[in-house]
Amino acid sequence: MASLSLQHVYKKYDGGVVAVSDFNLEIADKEFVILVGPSGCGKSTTLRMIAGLEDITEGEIYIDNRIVNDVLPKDRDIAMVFQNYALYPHMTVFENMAFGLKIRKTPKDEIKRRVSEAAKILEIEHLLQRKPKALSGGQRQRVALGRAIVRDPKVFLMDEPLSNLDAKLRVQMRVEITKLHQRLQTTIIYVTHDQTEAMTMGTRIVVMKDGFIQQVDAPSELYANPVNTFVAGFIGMPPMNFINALVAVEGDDVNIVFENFTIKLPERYAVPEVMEQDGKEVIFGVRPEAITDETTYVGQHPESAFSADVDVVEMLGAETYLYVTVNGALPLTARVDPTTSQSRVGEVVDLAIDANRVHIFDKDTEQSIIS
Amino acid sequence: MQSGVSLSESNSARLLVFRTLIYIVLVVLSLLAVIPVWLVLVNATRSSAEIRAGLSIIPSKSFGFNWRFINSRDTSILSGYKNSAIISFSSTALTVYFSMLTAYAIEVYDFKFKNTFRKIIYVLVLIPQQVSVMGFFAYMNKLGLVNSFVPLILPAVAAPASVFFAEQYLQTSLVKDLILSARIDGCGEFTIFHRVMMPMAKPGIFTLSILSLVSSWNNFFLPSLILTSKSKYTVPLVVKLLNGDAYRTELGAVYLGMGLSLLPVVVIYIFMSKQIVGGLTLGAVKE
Repeated sequence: MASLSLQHVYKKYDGGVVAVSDFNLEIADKEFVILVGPSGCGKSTTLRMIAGLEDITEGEIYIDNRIVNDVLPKDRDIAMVFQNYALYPHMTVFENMAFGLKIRKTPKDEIKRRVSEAAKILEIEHLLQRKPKALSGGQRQRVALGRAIVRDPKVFLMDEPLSNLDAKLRVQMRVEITKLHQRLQTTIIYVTHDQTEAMTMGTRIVVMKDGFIQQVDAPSELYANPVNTFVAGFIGMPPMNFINALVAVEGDDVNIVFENFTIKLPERYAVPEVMEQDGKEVIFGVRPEAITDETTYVGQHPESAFSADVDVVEMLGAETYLYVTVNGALPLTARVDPTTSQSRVGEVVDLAIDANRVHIFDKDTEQSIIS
Repeated sequence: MQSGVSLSESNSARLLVFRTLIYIVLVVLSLLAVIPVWLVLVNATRSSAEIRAGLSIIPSKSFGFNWRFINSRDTSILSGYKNSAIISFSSTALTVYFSMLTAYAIEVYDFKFKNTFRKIIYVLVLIPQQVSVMGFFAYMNKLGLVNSFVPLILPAVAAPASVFFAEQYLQTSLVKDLILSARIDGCGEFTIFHRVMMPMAKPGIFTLSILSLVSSWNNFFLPSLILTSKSKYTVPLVVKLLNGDAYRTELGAVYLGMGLSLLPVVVIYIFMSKQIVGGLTLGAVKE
């Protein structure tokens, strides 16, 4: 188990493409850090630089306070799980898991002990004599995890390990990996483009875009206080609603005006950073669950109510998504309670925003003014 | 409903005609491939006089005479087999190993002038052996290697056509993440090649081996220039000897020699044809 430090790390390819820019991150021992972002944001490149599979153009990477910039992957004491499992097709499951130890000339008894132990943890003991082609996707992924576990490395690197699995298996494996982290108490760096995986598994999340770190925070903090519209839009499903609105200050009151509706914000928003936006256009961010069609709530909060046309109703069982349009021009998504919701397609419904849970972003910089 | 039935009837009739045509074409092509081989085998059982009298597809009774005639010569077909086997198996092993090694390097590593190197190999594939053979012979003569197996075996380490085949195969079948995974597992580059890549590329290696073995076994041109002593003659050269008698040529014995030279190739194909076909398709489509 080990700590990791990435200091001013850059990756520039021939032809001037910059994949990673000024990446700084301190990862503590036993942390489960998730690198998340859209395709091409540099998350996999960063992971491969940590693994030693990609050269670093600038900067330093430390594993347990030892600089590893020029250390070969095999000497970094890391293990990696790949998206496509990368199991050796000509070897049995046992041989796959034992291969790394065999190469390192670990005694046979020790190899057997470690493989059996890992197989037990992952519940793949009955598969040890099978070849990868005779395994299902989930079983293959377990073997890939097992191959990493037997090595007992300082750091586990996982490159979108669940992307090739179907939705149900992905949920199951997500839980398994989280349990594994708790059991092994090890440092894990996990790359994904799936924000649900990021939110549910990581102790800290690094959100990346175009090679730059956007925000590093705990999942709950990232969700509640996104630093910019990118993070706010990327984290959360359905994504946050962004509304072009005006700030109107009346005395100590802060109002947000959009599409002929005025939403009065609570006192906590009456801070200088917001007050000085008076008369200016901002981006008003509202998460779908902060919009409700519950009649009682709407009746009790006229200061944050508005009406909209219902375009689509998606009933998912535990929740319902309403896709509505305000004034025929502003599309919004609301997550409502299916047991109380009366909204029907084609109707005009009264909705209200929970004004305590809104975000205001600067129109030009897209940085958060207040969350 | 009525028209539906007639439509399906006309469709099945058309399909029947189409299939029959396909089978006719296939049978004709098969006969074209099989008849020459069959004639060689039949003629191996006929006397010279019978062969001169005309074609026959029915075996005759002179096989024993032809066999004795072959074995009465000072250069036996068995010695030819031995020499051919030494040359073919050695050169095949070298061709396969070094072609795979070169192709692997081109496919996996990034290095300067990689594409130029690749293009040079492609151009070399197009140059016939005959163009460079005189220079090659003079060079071997200078090294004192004429009448030795070395010039027939050693050049196999650089076989452009085999490198081309191996590269095409690896392009479609190599999973690069496996190489990365092996690096993290602690393998050096040669260990990855030997313990990960080679076992995975078995179908390709097998196909390449067969192609290389057959071409080396049947090679007449280069051995006829390099080998001067009859004790070192390969099978095709021994067969040629049967044809070059000063007084008369025993045609039946020549055909028997040709049949015997075909034998190992046919046996290899019969036993390994499944893997050859499997190998070719594996190289063509990524599974």
